[in-house]
Amino acid sequence: MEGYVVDILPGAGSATLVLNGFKTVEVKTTFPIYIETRDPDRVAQHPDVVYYEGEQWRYLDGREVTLYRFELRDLRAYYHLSKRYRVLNELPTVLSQTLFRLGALPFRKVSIRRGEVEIVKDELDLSELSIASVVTEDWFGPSPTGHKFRANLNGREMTGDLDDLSLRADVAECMGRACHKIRASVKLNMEEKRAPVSVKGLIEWSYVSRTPVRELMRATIGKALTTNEAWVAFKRRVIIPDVVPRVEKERNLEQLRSVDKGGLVLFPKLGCFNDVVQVDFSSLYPSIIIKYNISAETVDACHDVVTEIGHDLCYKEKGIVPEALEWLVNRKEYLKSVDPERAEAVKWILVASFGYLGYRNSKFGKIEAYELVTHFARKTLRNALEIASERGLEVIHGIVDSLMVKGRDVDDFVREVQERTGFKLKAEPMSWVVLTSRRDGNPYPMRYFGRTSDGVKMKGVIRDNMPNLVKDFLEDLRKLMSSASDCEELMTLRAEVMRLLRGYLERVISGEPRDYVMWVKGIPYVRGVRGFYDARNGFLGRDLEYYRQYLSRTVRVVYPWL
Amino acid sequence: MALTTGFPLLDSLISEDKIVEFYSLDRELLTLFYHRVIAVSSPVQVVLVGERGGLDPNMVERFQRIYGVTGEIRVRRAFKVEDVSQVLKVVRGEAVIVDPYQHRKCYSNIVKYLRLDGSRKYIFSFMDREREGSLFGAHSAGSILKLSRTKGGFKVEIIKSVTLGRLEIPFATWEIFGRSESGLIRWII
Amino acid sequence: MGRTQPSFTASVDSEIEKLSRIADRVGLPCLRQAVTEASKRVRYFQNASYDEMMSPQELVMLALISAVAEGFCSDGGVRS
Repeated sequence: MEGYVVDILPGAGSATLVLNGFKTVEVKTTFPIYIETRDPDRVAQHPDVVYYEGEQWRYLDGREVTLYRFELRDLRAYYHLSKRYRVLNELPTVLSQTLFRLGALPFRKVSIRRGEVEIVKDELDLSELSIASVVTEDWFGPSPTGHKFRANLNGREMTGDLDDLSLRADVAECMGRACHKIRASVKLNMEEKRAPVSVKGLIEWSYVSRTPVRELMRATIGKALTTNEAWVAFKRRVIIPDVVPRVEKERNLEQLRSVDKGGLVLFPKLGCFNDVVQVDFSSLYPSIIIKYNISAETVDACHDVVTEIGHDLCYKEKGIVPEALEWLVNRKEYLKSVDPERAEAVKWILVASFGYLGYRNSKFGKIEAYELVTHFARKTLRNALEIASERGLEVIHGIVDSLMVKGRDVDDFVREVQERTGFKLKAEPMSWVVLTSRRDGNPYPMRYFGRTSDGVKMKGVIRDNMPNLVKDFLEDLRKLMSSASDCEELMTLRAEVMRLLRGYLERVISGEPRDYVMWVKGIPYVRGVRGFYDARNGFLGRDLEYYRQYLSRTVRVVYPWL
Repeated sequence: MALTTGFPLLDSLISEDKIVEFYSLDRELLTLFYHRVIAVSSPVQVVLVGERGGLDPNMVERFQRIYGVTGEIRVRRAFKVEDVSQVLKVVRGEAVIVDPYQHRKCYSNIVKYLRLDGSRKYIFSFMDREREGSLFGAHSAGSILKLSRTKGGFKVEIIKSVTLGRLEIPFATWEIFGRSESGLIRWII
Repeated sequence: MGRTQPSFTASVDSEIEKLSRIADRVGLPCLRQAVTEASKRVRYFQNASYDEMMSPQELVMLALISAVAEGFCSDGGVRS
């Protein structure tokens, strides 16, 4: 039998591999648990322990230790033993480790013959899988108690009454009653989902971390991220710890002041600027981690490079985090041309990996590693600013890993920055960009919008918690502004912007109930005459003045020439 | 330089105690107070417990300038509860410890390492000791002092002391910034 | 944005607010205007000092001096 591994269901002395197309195969297996103990025989007395073996592992700091790997007949024994003994290597998850040993990995194509499993295709080809996303809707939008559904099956959109829903898929994310009406090998209940990606993104995470997708859904991004790092450690026989108590280096105030910082953020000039180029470093933080070999166990392990901030770099052994990230960076680049949604899911992990270096519960990070990364990021951006200044370019804005510059020979500037910093850059020309201020007049680094070859790009303008009406308005405004090819033309759009605004102000009076809904922390609200109310209780009218003012405020932020 | 609050009266009342705990429900007040204590005690070791915040180097340096003190301040942070006792194990000698009990866990280990080398420690806690009084090493602290705001300033109440009963000492706001007590400089030097 | 120390921008803002309060209490109109003008400029001083070690107080003072240097007062005060 052949197929993609979609799930694994543990049994007694065996596991059922669920393949695409609803195929299942039962294979014989035991489940591993790693325990640090001086008395393995005592542990082995548990009736579900089939046998055990001692293995030489080492801690992150290099200390060698004998770990015992007990093979269990039943997963229940795993949880039982976890409560009584010091269990290590809990990541990768036991199911993940079991799949690995069987020669099967999530979302690889395998062939199973006479109980033997073999991977026949390592690359994930989604065209051979059926993937669905089903959302139930009420008048205000997605709701687990809604009576209508909106579904996407392999890219095809469908809508209708929930009673008419009938769908089959290998992996489906679903909501409310829709979960009962569909048939899927793996059902992911959206109400329990904590991960911020779509079902395709979760599948990519499952592929990358070699963990069954079911196990990732309820976890935050940390699990996928840490598991990816854990696999590197696992292969090196480095123990994946539970909690790692850390003692950081002592600093004086001067040292603390210089390292305890985030990214470099400039305050932008205000106004509209023509012919600007946005220059971004590609995956700067992961690239820094890889280039300088930054990981908990490498920082200060030796003194190959002494840095200005008192932490030293060591290149003797490739760090666990750099190795784990390197293949992700390459994978993201490859996926960009194959499937942008999956590339985005990998990008999420890369972005979070830096933060994890400094996270208190991080297994392979420590604060000194985090500080090294922010130090090099600031240094890199400063270098870029200096080069811009040397070349007579005007810097409109700079924020952590990106610059907006104006002037001549920007391509040469990009080349020089790449050469002198060693990091890759992407340049995107913008015919114009607008940087506006906050209400108090202060420049606002996180908000700008500009016209690129793909139309107007807005950053920090559209917020999730805006009323639907306002979101639609911003979308129409964005399209309108796309027609301007420079700041001067943008300013002449005044009359049309006013017309658009007037149209929406009228819509405030006669709009659909859904127009007034805004989502705050997962709950839909409408502003009524007596204040905000929960939309799930029904549409009970709207406060005209509130929505009118919201629109007026919004347009002033985005189009300051009114 | 030895640990000192910079207020001679307070110092004399707690001079016999190895472990002194200052607590307050007023975060801003306690923060200001311990920044001053760190400055006037310098050179001094400081342990900051918690994921975020805890020290404003500028504020400490301003206090140092006001009082004409220039000692080095050496800081270590303990971000999660498991780090706290490990960091305390490594810190030898007198130290200022900020919010060691904030996780409300593992206190017996924390207390053990606080007392390990027998040197003086000043602890600053953001908690209501009168409600959580029986927990977290209250028995091991030599003195417990409560800080709270008053109309013209703040007051320090001795809640627990081996030698004294309950005592209340008022201070004016500007005393934090050193505008009184000309004898202060003499005391420090 | 540091983990332990307050954000530089927050410290700068707090210094400006303190100077504003004191200027208000003193009641001299030109000083108040100079402080207001300094608060508008201070962000660009922050930008310019990105690779220098400057305390929030030094930065705010510099912004204030720049406002005074340009004679920022329209209330009949002394203009340079």
